[in-house]
Amino acid sequence: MTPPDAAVLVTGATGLVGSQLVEQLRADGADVAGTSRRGSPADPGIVAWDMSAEQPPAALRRHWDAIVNAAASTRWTMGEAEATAANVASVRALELLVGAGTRVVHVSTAYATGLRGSVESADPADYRNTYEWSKAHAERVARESFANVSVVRPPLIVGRRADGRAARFAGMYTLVRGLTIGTVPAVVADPEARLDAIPVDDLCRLLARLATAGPGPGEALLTIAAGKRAPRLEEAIAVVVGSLNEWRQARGHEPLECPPLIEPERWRRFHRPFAQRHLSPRQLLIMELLESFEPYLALAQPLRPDVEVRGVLSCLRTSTAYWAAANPRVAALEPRPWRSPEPSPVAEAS
Amino acid sequence: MSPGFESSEMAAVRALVAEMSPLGIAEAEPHTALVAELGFDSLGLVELLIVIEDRFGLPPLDDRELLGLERVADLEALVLAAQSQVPLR
Repeated sequence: MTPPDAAVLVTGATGLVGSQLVEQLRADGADVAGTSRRGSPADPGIVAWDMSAEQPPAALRRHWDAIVNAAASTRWTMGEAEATAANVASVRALELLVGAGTRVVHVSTAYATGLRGSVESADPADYRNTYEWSKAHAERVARESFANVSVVRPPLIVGRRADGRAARFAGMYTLVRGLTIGTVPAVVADPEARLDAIPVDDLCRLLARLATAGPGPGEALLTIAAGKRAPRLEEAIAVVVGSLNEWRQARGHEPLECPPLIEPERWRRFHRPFAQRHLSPRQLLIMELLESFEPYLALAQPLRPDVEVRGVLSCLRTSTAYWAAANPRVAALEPRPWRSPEPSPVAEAS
Repeated sequence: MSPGFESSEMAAVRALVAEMSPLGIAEAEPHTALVAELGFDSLGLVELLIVIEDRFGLPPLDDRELLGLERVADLEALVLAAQSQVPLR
């Protein structure tokens, strides 16, 4: 058991998880410091440190009761070298700060087990993307490097349960942005696929407890997710679009339409060949980029959480409303239907 | 086009870039890197382009060109070049 004023270091402290965790730990009375690549002009307690490229700064070389590693790059399109630097070298960089009495809490992802259901493979082909592959590697390094480590695997993370506040808009927000901007004309997904997303404060309460009180028996590896309580994708998208439309209606903007769900087999056999003949280069590029989502949308089996989260739909609604308020120019865009392109007047004139 | 008009348009481009930055970076400067510093992925860059076209009433910009852009200043140059193609109304 660590005293309530435990010295805790949070990496990735300006990120979605890290910023909420710093707030949570401070409210709990811990002695908290944070790191981020650029530091924080608004918070002198957050030290600038590029973990993937630099040794820890002198200010951080002291005793820590716990270190929570919430730093990560979550882009799916990273190259292998970039993903390794961002998500693996950053774990190794902590070795110089972890003392005999330091507990490490490493934030991984529920998808780190890739296509084989395990983090043990070093072969990128066993994962859906370099993000998963690097997070699996990071788990192996954390386990080998630190004697006292807990690994926590969350799925997609959204804003706070009460008000949807989020410091960053990645992951699920890609879908929210795409629905608004009109880059998602249809969702190619298994009808049983679910959107498993948890509010950031549920995750941070767990991380704070593991950091300050330590893990209980069997808590060295924890998946926190909604699991079989996660909504099916169609229902989740309807809630996100509904929340966007509430915001839009209040400001006099046209409502957005809910994109249809198309089964992957039907998409490949009928829609995709048609699209390839008739869409504009931009629409084809968007289709190509959206393909990175497909493996996730084909997941019919729910996650099997150790810590179960409830009320996902309500969190999606609140988080979408918060996003719209924070991104008013994007949230207010007029819907643009996907149709075969017409030549633009400028292109004709030139 | 007066220099003042141009710089206020560019400030508006930078405001949009900052608003849409997946890393929630509050300010984008001309030298800021779109991917490494602001966290845009390829899809995010295409979305940014669509929003910029919509906001400034521009003809469709070249997406493949956008994916090769490194810094905010490169994007500003692309927008300025596209603006010069917009017929006077």
